[in-house]
Amino acid sequence: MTPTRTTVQKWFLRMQYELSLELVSGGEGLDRKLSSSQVTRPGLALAGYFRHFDSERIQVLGQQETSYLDDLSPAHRERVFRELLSYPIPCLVVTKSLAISPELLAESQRTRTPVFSTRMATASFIARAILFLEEEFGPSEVIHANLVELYGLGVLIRGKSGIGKSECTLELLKRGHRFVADDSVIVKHVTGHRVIGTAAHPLKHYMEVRGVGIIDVVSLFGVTAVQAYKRVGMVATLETWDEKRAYVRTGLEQEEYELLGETLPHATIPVHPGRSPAVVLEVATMDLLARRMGHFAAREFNDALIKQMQSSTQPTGYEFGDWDDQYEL
Amino acid sequence: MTQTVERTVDVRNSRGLHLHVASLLANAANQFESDVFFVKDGLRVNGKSVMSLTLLAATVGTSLLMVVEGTDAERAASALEALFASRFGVE
Repeated sequence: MTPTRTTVQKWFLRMQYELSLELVSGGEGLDRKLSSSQVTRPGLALAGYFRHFDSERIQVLGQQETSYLDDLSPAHRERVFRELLSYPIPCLVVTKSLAISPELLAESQRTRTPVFSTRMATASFIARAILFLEEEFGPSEVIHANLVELYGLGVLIRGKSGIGKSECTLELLKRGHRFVADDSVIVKHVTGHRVIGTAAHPLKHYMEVRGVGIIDVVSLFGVTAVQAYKRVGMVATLETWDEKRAYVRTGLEQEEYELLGETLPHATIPVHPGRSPAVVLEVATMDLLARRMGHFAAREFNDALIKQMQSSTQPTGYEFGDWDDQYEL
Repeated sequence: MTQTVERTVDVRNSRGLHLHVASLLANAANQFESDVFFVKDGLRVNGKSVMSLTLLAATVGTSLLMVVEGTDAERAASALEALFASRFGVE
């Protein structure tokens, strides 16, 4: 479910601060659709050439465009804006706090085309505006899973209905970790190989617990127990314990899971009476953090084991002398 | 033998698929081994989960696509279809 359209208003509200945007005119047109992730400087169009004009893009007027327009007569300017704004452009932005001509203001009011001003320089403005648009139109999906933050890492918990994702999440909450989403998670791919997750449900931080009903996580666990958005750092799948399945026994290799085109570390957590998936999940997360710091327990163990097997003297594990010193009560 | 069954179902309850109705539907879906999904405007949710069903925000008159996948898909689809038709025994 990837969004293909947004509105100028949404873009404005989201980027107003970052882009230092001020609405100058044409506010009635804020509901205009934005469907392109590109931004354009209408150079040739201002000179009267409209073939292949990208009318679905946000139009930007910078130093050069403003200077060209200043050199025209008011009548000529009026003709230029009349033609430019006859197209259904989403909006127009004037950068560097440059003066906006009265002809543009008049035409924008007549056609209800939003015109913004920013003090940003043109190139910087274009780069940042496109960044937001590409993220807005980037791939996203709603998946049936929980998202919890453990030790700063976002863990997506998957598994069949009824396997105990919610109970596992509750235990993690009791252990001090943070709740992001239960049951339906929107995951979105953003720049920098990141996948961000948030609750799909507009009514955030509610959970359904079989046997209890719907609970409000903030009321029960507190404001520090929830997080609105979290980058997904690991995927865990809860599975019913299967005798015949070859579970990860060494950790010499890392399981992987592909989400929206990104490869993430994966752990399969077996669910079985008497085994706590929450603890295993915690440890899987801790181990991943250790790996990120360069500690690969399985590899270190194996290297030491091989070294020990190769050495001529085979120690038993402790010598009697050491034992006395360390364990004497 | 896994089958996939798709049916179109209509929400007939005056207050739509609100919490109580969603729980009746989820409980019914959970009786079956098959996976149950409901699709509305490109949004696909898990029919065995109450919270997921409320995401649909399905008001009265809404048509949903029901997708059932599993060994007992036919039985499940028929049973759930009947449930929708009977307005879940509510208003």
